[in-house]
Amino acid sequence: MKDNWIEIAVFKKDMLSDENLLKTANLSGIGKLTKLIVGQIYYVRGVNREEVKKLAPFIFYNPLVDHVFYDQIPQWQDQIIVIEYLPGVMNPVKQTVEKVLKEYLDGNIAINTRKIFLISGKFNRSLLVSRILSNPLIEREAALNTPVIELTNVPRNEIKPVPITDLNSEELKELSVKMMLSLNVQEMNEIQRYFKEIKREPNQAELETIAQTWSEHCVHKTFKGTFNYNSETITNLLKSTIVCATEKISRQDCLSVFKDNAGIVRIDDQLAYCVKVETHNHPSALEPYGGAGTGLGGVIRDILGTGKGAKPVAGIDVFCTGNPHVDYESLPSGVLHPRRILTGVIEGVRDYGNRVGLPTVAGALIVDSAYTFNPLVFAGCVGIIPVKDSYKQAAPGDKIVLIGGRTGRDGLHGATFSSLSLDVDSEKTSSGAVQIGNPIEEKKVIDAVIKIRDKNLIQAITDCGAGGLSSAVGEMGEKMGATVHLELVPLKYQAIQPWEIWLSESQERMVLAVKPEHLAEVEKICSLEQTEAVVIGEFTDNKRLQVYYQDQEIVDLPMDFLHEALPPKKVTAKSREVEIKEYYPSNLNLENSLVELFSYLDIASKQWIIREYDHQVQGKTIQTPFSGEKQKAPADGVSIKSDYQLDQNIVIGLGININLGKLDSYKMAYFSVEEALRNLVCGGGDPSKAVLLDNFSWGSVEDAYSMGDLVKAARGCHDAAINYQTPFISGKDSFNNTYQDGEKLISIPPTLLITAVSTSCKLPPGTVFSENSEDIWLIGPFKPGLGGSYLEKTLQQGPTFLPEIDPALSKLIIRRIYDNLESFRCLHDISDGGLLVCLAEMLMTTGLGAEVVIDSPYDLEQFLFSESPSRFVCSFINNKVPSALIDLPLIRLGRTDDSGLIKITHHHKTCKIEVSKVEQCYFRDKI
Amino acid sequence: MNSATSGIKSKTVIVLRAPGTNCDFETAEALASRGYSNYKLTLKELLDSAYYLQEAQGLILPGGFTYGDYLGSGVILSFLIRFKLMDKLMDFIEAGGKILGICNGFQILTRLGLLPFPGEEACVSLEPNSSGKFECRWTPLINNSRLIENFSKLPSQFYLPVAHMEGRIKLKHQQLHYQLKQNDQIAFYYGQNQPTHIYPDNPNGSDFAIAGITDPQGKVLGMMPHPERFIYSGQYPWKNKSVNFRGADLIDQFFK
Repeated sequence: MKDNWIEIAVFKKDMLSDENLLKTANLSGIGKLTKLIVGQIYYVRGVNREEVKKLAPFIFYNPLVDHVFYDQIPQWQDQIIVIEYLPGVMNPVKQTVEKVLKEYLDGNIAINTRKIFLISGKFNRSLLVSRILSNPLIEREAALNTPVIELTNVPRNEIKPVPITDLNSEELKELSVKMMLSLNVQEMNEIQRYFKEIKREPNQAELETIAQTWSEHCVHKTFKGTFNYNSETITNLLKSTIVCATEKISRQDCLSVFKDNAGIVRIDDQLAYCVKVETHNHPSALEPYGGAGTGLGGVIRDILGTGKGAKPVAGIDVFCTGNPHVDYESLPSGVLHPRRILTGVIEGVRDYGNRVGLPTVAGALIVDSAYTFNPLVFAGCVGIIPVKDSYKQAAPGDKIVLIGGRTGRDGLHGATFSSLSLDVDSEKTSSGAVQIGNPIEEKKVIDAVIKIRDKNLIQAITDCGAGGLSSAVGEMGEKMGATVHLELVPLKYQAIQPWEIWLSESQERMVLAVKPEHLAEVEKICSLEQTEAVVIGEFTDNKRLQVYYQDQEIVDLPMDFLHEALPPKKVTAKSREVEIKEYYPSNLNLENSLVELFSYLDIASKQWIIREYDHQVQGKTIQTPFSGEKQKAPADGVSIKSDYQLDQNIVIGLGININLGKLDSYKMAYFSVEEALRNLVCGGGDPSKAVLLDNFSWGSVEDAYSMGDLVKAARGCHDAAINYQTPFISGKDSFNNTYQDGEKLISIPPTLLITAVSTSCKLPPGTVFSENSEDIWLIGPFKPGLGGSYLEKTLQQGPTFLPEIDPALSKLIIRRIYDNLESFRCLHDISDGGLLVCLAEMLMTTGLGAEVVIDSPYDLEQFLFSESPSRFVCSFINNKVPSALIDLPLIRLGRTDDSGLIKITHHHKTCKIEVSKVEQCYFRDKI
Repeated sequence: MNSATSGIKSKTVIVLRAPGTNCDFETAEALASRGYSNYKLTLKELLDSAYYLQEAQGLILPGGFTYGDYLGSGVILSFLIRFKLMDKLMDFIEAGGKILGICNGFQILTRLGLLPFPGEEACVSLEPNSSGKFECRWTPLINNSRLIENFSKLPSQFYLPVAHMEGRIKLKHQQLHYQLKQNDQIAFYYGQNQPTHIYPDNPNGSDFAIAGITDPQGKVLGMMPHPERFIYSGQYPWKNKSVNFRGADLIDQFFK
């Protein structure tokens, strides 16, 4: 090996195939592999060979189980493939190990890593590399025995102005596209107007700063735009619907809404919680593992940057992907296979969440071909914060302190990229937008920030997310001004331009405002937590954002231009008409229908995902995602203790319904709020203390029908919030989730995730029956209509008409259930798949059966499979119905027995379903 | 530092933190709930002052992903302990101190060779789960320890959560099992009534269904399950069943 690298290859002694990877490879249509052995190669430089050999058994390999090879690899008659990170891509292993060894050996030591695969079989080598063994965006195949290439110093470009004042509209538009600014002509004109006025041309860094600050990601300009909806004009859609509902409800315990990184809600006099849910769709489409991981990492930092710093205590993850069984050849090049997306995002959340020590407690999975080209990743986080730390305010003279990981070229243009449509070239042009996370760096930053907060050393804090320093500093200094010296920012490597330092979205960084007299203590705490803290500038009172690199000024913009000059966006919206068909399925084989419904990943057990997440770390989890004697049945809501010493639990319920979204986005929004509250109350949450979060993932802002759906959904959110008196405290929108396939623009269906959060001291009843002879009750009104149901999806019919909701009754039912929670033996809400799915879920894993008599004027199929809202199946302690419930719609469906069968009698006809048979299908490995 | 409120001077246990430790808060809470004082310390703090190891009766290596587990579970922290703290730890044990390693801490203790025979070469390793997956679930455990006398006060069987990707105990050779059994060094087995190889009661495929082991004196204990995640009854997943045992009792009885 050249360049004095010592090469250490490590394999397990048993030399067994990685079975999971082998399976994935063999399912990917690239041939047939018979063996796939994974090894690691470490490269070490700066230490002599003897020393390395002495230390290696204690750090690079374990003599008990590993084989080690120095400067050679094992004999292997078949193919060998070596994969490495592209130069400049974050390598967490290198970063961590180098730091530790440098400290220990005091030398100028360098480390690098590669993965090595020993493979047998008949397969297409290049497809194996690109589909399975690497992601070409961040990795590449390396030739054996070649030295590791590292980025070397390159001279920094001179800072050149970008001439715009003489351009016409067409040229401005071209410039926006070329520079990936994601700004429209109107916005470019406004920028031009400003620079004409001050009689100079902007620097690249200035244009980039404006683009970031004016991005959809940072200012929600579409949602706040002026909508021309049919013949109506709506000024600021967000304010007139969702925010308006919150203002009308005006709840005293909501300490901060729509202002900070996350909404803050009071638990008691001392303590509050905060919640945020983010989307990380585009990055996850290109690099699922890194995208989902950094999505979670980002929302954790949102929480850490709320108020004067909140401690992250629970994670939420929802994925929407294409069908993992779709044929590889049917996908355009550049689109990752849904199977890879799904396994990638699960592993991404697992490795980031588990390592950072955040229990991932709540989630959902939606699989639909509509998400093949645009998968969605929602990542949420709950935090705990002392009430006194809920508000922040930096002041002129405060130092700007950057804490955490070093800055590199990763994640450039994230905020603007997230507003673009994807296409075949996305994987090339946007490669900078991909981020790789280092959860251990994040954990150190969390520990440091909470310690600093508890010593009252933070004036203000925010995360370095989309837009990097430009957004973080620009936001914090909005009301006063800020000066930054970029040469002070610690870098991962020197090959980086000043504007890139300013815009970089390198992960695991936080920006703090600290009084000068507190700096020494802040630095001391960070050093103990082994993370860097560096002063990079200070807040001023000149209301300007001024950025320097050494003595050159690269940004000088007035804060009011940056934050107020964005011209309001005009949006054209039209309502969509969906043609309703009438059909009534009959004579279905119920068992077969259940088996078919359980073949949907959305409905089937999510155990295979959930167990990969450590949902109990931090020791506060009260209601896990599982229920029942075997702890395998799905729980509806989940809860965590707000504090070890407090009885108040924080309860989370989710609602998402894309089948309705395709038909009627108003109902989707309303029903999703109701579903989230149903789950919440089943998890023990008090509905009168509940708050909501909205996450919109939508199609093109240029598509009037898509925007019409947005208006309807926003109104649905408003009306539901008012009905249940549950305010929205925070939200997020992601537009242009579209894919340009040649001439055709493929769009996702309107997708809205509602998160309901509340506090309560109540423990939830389980979701499954426990024994023989429990009376089975159905609470809630039945409303006919199979529209938007999973049965409709399996029958490939429709759409037929949608069920209605009775707002007042729905609210009353949720309230009464909560008030009488102690009387329930078990309680499960009816959602995806309808009543029969619900009943089966309550019997599976118990060995029990049930005898059910349906006495309904509607046909059996509608009764069993309608997803009509506001309904629950339950049993009561001692079979005693609490008197407070008897005026609700309440039907005794039947009774549990030990038959292991569900026997359903309707109009003197009985059909039987074998529980163990559908159970097998429900729990079967799906991918 | 948490101090017990009683008048009697409480016992003190060190919780050793490193970047990526993530069970330190609940571990400290479990100790506090049973009247122990605790110091949450980094390796540097522990090395900078001899005071802590003199003052403390016990030390816990808690769960987590120290240094990201980037070179294998617990490898980097065990490397640092081996070359910086090992002598002091041996002295600490010699002086009657007790060490508990939970999950990542157990992985570190085996890598250091502190388990099963302090001072000898490592002969037990914790390998990837046979399911190939991370496993987060409550598992049935059989209390088998006779070396730690106080453990007779614990139930003979109980449930605790596991959450790990590398928890499969692999012994260097088969005779080692005989030796560990002879010495009563096997503290816990996975299983109900009898040790089991069947998934998921045995969540990782451990040799001989071993879930936790001690040194021959019963002063060093390593286990994959997380007793610190079960301090209060609300944390028990079976909400309608009453249970007298808490995981925190196990920690309490070990350091008593």
